[in-house]
Amino acid sequence: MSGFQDVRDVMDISGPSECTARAPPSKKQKTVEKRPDGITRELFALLGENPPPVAIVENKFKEKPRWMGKANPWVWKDFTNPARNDGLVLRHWERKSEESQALDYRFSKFNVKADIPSYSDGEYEVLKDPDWPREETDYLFNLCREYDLRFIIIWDRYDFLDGKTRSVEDLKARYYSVCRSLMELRTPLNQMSPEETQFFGMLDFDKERESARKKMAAVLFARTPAEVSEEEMLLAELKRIVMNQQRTLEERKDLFNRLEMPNSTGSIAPYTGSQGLAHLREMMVSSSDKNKKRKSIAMGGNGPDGAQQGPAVASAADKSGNTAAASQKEAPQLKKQVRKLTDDEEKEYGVMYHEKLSQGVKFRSTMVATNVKGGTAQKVQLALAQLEIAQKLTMPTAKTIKKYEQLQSAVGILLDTRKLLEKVEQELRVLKAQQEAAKEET
Amino acid sequence: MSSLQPTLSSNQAPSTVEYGGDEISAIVLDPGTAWIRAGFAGEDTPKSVIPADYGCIEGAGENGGRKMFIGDNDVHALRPGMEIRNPMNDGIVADWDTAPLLWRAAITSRLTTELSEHPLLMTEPSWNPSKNRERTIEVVFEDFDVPAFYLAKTGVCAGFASGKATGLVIDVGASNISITPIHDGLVLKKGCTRSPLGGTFLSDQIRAYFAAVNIPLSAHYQVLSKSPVEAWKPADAVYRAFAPGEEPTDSYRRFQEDRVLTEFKECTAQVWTGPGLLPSTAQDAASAMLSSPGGRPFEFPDGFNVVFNTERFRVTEGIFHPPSMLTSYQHHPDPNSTLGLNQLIHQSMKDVDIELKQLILNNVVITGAGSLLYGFTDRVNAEIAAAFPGPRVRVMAAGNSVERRYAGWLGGSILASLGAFHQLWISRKEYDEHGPNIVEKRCK
Repeated sequence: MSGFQDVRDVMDISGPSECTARAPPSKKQKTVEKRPDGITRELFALLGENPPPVAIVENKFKEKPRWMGKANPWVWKDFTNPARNDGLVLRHWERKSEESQALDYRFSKFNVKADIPSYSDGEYEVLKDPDWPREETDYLFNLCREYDLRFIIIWDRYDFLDGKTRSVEDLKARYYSVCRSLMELRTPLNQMSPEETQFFGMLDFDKERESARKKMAAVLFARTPAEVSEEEMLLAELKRIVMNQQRTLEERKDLFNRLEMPNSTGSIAPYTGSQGLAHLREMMVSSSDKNKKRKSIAMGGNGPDGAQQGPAVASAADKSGNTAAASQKEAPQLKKQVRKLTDDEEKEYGVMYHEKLSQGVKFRSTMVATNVKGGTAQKVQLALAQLEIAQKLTMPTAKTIKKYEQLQSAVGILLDTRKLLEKVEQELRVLKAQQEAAKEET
Repeated sequence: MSSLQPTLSSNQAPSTVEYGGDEISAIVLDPGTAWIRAGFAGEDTPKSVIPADYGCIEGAGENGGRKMFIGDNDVHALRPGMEIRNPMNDGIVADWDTAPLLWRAAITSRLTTELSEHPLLMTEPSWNPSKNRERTIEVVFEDFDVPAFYLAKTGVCAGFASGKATGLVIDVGASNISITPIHDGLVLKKGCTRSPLGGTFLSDQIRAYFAAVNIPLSAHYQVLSKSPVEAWKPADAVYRAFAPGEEPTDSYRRFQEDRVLTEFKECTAQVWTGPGLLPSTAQDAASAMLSSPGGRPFEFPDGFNVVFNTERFRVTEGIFHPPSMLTSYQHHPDPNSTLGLNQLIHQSMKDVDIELKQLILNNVVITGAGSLLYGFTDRVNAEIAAAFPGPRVRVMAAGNSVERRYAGWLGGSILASLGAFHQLWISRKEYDEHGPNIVEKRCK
């Protein structure tokens, strides 16, 4: 506004009509801008449409508090505390408006006492303990009442006339055993509500266990700096081992995954020669053209899916009939190349022939044949587990696998026999009973 | 538009969750060996702090009795024949004729003259015998005529001042260093230990050291004017001359000298922060301190001045290692049987339940004016950490020297201004019914 006025002054233009005529647009602009107080107009103009990136400090005083209504006077007033029974009158400042409701002292609600049971002479007959005279038990219960079951303080202040020196555990054990017996005496165990039963269970104090725990805590407390540092080192080591183990497990899992990938079973023999390679190339080139591909695979009998025929999965295409046909063709040629091994040599190199093998790489341990079938198979597993024989062999060589299979079948047979025996015995018993019954009748 | 924080209006009371205070204008009195502190509960510093030492002239009072001079202004004034005495011994009241007068003076001089209108909370050391406690309640009800009274342990109060209900309070007072383990606001009596190695002991050590190396100790009242001199050069000062029979008494001179010693403790004496004990020979100590800043000068009231190097550590070492204390004066504690601070802590922790030890060591509170010695907290921290390597040790010492000096009072002030505390007061009615023995039952 001042700038506008300045310009008018400089140009010597006067007249209110023009000024008011000009005012509306500028006013409009201002409402759009909404320039905050702490920032100059020029700077604000530079900001453009975007909001300022930093908070703008406003040099403003704190707003005057707006009091609701009239100030409320305070009065110096007598009060009594219901937590006291002597009626001591103290005085404090109080709001005049609160006068009426000040009957109950607001801090008296903090006067909370622990609930300590007390026993009659008759009841004490049940609570008797040769180690604890009646007077000392009373003394203990008074202290419990006085110090609200802070057993550490009770032990600290415990000073019974020529009594034994007692540990915190002794005191706790006596207190809880008395409470427990008392509770059982008043409500028999079978009449207790679930809450009461739970509370009853909580009162069971195991002195030995508690003492042992404290001893352990004391040992832990009395560690030397060397022991502390050693322990820290061991903990770090443990952490490292655990992490390594995790990594190893992950790696192993990864390896298993790789091993279990569907693999080509066809041999690469067809592609070993230059002729084979040329064939492969032709196949890969032709795979771009569907028709050609169809032709090329037509000679191999049943053709694979078109999707499998990409150049990248050329090896996967091996298992298609096309290559199988090729391997069949070259089989006699291959057999010539294979040297026949003697039985000894076969044993030495660990070469063996399997009757039926499914596709893929497998561990021998997973290939243990189950000779026993049906319900006995499970029982065999159970029996082996009872005998602490592992389900999977740690060293599954061909020999051990064989032995293991034998063992399994032997166990299976034995179990079957036992079952049979039991059956027969049972029958025998039944028959005998029938026989006896028949005798008695006669 | 700036969004204003909603301020609490004066129309609504603060919620009880945030604010548990209910001030009943109680008076808190913390009588110590050196100072008596009094003030209204709920305030953060005692309004009235007067020395426990008082001056008295026998036969100058009414009817030929003794005339007493109480309070900072009176006790330091130069009067012929005025003896300086202290009613306390070993941290507890020994002279029951005078102590109540001092207490009353501490309250009436600045707080109020109407004792019967204000409940009174007093503090006591943990070793206060029950006879003394009963005497206290008698004095308070019979003599002061207060409406209600409570006797709290200094250790507990100091813990409260640091916001701790459980912890180990190390209080370095004038007469004693006392260690008080507290749990849930109650003192663990079996763990309370103390040694007479407080501020008075330190003053005696410094005095003995000065005597041993021929440093003349002067007091401010003796010097009229002085001019600067080189270090170790005889003082160039004009001393006050006294006519025969007008001289101040020995106890007055000693009292004034103690003020100079206090100044020495405040600005020159220092605690060896280790590692380990202070090396026994001056040479070892000097070599061990090569890295630390050099000496500190101290000027006596008559202008005599000296730069203190290793000596400023040696005078304080007796607190931690009593065998190395100076024994060239009378009534010194036995160097061999007295327990040093670290032994005290050890002794104190011995009888604490194992479950509490960890918690207590995590809340070590250092208080008392003596603990303001330069390096004291560091040394205590190092000693505890060395003695208990396993648990985590946390030492808390108020950085504010006022809070450190008046922690006992401050805790009492907090306690007596709590709404939930007001049921614990021993009222006059209860006192009349049960007699002085009620203090044993109620103030545990």
